[in-house]
Amino acid sequence: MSETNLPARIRCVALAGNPNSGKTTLFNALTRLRQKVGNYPGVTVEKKVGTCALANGESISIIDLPGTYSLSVRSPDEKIARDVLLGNVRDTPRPDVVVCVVDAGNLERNLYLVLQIQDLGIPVVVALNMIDELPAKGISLDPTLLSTFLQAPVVPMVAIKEEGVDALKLLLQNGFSYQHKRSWLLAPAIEEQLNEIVRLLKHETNHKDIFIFFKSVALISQATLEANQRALQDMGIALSPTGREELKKIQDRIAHLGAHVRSTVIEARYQWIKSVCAQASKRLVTTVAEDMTQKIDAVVTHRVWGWVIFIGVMTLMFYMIFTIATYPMDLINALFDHVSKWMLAHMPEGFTRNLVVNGILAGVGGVVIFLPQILILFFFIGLLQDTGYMARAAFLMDRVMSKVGLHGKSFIPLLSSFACAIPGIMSTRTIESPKDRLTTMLVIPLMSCSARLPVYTLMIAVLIPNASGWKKASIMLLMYFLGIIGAFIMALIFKKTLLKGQAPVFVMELPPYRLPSWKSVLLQMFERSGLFLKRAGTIILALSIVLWALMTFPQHPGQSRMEALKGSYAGQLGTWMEPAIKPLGFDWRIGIGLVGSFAAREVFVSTMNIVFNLSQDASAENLKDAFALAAWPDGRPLFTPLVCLVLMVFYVFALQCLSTVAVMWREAGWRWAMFQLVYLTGLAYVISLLIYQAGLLLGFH
Amino acid sequence: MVYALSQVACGATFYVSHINADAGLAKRLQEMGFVRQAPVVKTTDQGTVICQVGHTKVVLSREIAEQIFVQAVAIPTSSELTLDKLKPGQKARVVRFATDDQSVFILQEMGITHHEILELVRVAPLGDPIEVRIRGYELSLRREQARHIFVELIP
Repeated sequence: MSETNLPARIRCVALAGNPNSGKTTLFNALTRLRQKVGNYPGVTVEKKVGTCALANGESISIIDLPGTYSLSVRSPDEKIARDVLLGNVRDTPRPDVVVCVVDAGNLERNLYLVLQIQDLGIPVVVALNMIDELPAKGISLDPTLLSTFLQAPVVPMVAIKEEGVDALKLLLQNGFSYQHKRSWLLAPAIEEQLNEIVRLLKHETNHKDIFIFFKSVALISQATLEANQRALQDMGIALSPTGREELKKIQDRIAHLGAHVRSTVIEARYQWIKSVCAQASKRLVTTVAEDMTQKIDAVVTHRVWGWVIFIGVMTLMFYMIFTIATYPMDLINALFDHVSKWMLAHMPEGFTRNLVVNGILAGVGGVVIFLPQILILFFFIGLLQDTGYMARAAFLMDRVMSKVGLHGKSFIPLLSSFACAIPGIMSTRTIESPKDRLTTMLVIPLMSCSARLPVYTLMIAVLIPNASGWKKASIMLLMYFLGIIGAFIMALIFKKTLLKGQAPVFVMELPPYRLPSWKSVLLQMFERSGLFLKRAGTIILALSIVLWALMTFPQHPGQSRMEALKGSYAGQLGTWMEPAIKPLGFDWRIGIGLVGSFAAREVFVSTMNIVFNLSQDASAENLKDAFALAAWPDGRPLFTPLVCLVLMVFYVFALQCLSTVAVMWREAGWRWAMFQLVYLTGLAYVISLLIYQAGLLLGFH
Repeated sequence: MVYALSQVACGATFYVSHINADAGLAKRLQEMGFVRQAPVVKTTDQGTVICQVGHTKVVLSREIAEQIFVQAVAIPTSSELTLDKLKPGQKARVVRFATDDQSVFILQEMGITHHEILELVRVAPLGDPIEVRIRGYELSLRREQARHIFVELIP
């Protein structure tokens, strides 16, 4: 099974590689920001495609595959990576060449993926990255020898300094001779059965499928007949009845060889790798001095200092989010204020002005104001991930997480969810076990995302207007803790009931500490924030207009503003809801806010802005004062301290975010999305009810 | 599943389950290394069987091979050392895996394979997970998974 071919003009290249191998850095260096970020159809695995300009003026498209250790299809990431390579993904061309990024300092494990990709028969180029770290590690490596063994071009590089990137481009431009040769071999008895499967599949597919060898290896690794059926279906092979019969016979013979065939395949690859590494690389020093990573880890994962640093890092991050971010936030606020004042002054009074100022500007402005916080959060997450600290945080936290049946890897998604549940849900895809992943996704909305911040800020300002900043901050923290505790309790309940399963498999690499690539940290920050802004510009803009319309129509001239609002569609809905929410201490106006923020929480503030701008005849200076004036028809104040508190608690628990529902739908199916919506809304209602009624009994009001 | 050593294929690793022979023969076989859980690889089978048991190569007649029963999966015995029992700084060689479920393949693909040497680097402050160095990099896994990996200490 050896053939030589020179790829005719290379048009499409896939970038593969282990996590932490510098794949994204190389992708950025090759494409120079000419890239598009989206999702693969049907899943939320991020899809990045870019164009790379070659020296001869032509360009090739580069697909950045998700970082994986293997193509064994245990996680959505691995499945997508494999399906792209097999050419089975809609709207994604099958790559002509795979550039596999390899961390030169971690050669053995990185080469495992290279060998798997070579089984596909697609020409592979090895990008031997981070060769500059080798001297410090006391390793010498001969790329030419490595290339001879692998039968594939090896390009040594330091992607972060763009060294070797041009050599790679030149190689892709000129093409290269490629010879596919099986490197690793199995024990003869198993090899024989593998050849049987290859023969069978070749016959069954009329020799048309070029990935028969890869698929046969996948089949021989399956322990049971059902697993085999699933694998066949997954790889798009339909067998004839005789073929199925034949496969069953081979399977029986394999079963006789013992259940270790899969391990045998893995070990055969590693054995070959070991011998290649032994010949192509040398350890110059026999006892490597405790390197930097070890020294840092001795402190960062220390019994005492580990926690001090962990809490310090988290505190710093939230301090930045809640203090530094306020300056640009004030600026944005002032800007929107300025624009609406200018509109009020320069536009003729009437329908359009009303729509623009009270609908669009109030709605969108209320969301865009979070941009600084989101930027800071994504900056921190990118930084922590790039330096390698995130893995240590998961290492520290795993025990805590495992107490509630979660995973050390759930920590990162939960942390991201303090900014926004959507990147949080998307980042659960690194969790291999579907049940652990689902549990994490189900509780993610309980982490107070930044969209709750304005609700909390507003309600705290109404609750204790003249208290010191510390008091306000501690109430805010209380809300965050309430969410965290709720998430842990719910996770425990789900793991004990609906999603009962084995103890989760927790295997995580602790990458060496590296200086962050500022370029990729910033790039990621802007990409993610861009997605957030896009949401503000589309969903929230549309909702703002819809809500404004609901609150403005039908119009009856001559009414007071209060009566007009109550008579509007939104007012009717709020009034209709009032009996249900009255036991929580909410009136129909808060009802409008709840309805409005069902699509996105941050809309609550803008809705309240609209509601109270419209309904208060005495025009209040700001929303806070308007709330202080708001009252029930009998004159009792509406926003008593208890109601403010209950409202905040409601927002801690309720799932009021269409985008989260949409992402859940895509990730876990509509049943789980609906389940999440119902359980969180129910939880919010019940807990708010309990607090309000208990508060009343205790004499608060 | 238990097979007679005469039935199994050459080249794959099996573990001794039991010996179905008279006491005298059973004792002799045990002295040759066919103790419970000892790994066996049959290398040739032409009626007469040649196999590797532990570190010794043994030639057996077909009749005797029919009385030795082996299984594909090792069963843990409590007396042996598992990865989770190592202390920081200790090095050990992977001997075998106690289960053959999905979690083992994940570990194997990450490089924890038979005969590979690993070192326990540290234990997380709360006692779990642990960090091991294998194939020149650091990997963290839970004690629950480490429990399934049998190792022998390297002095």
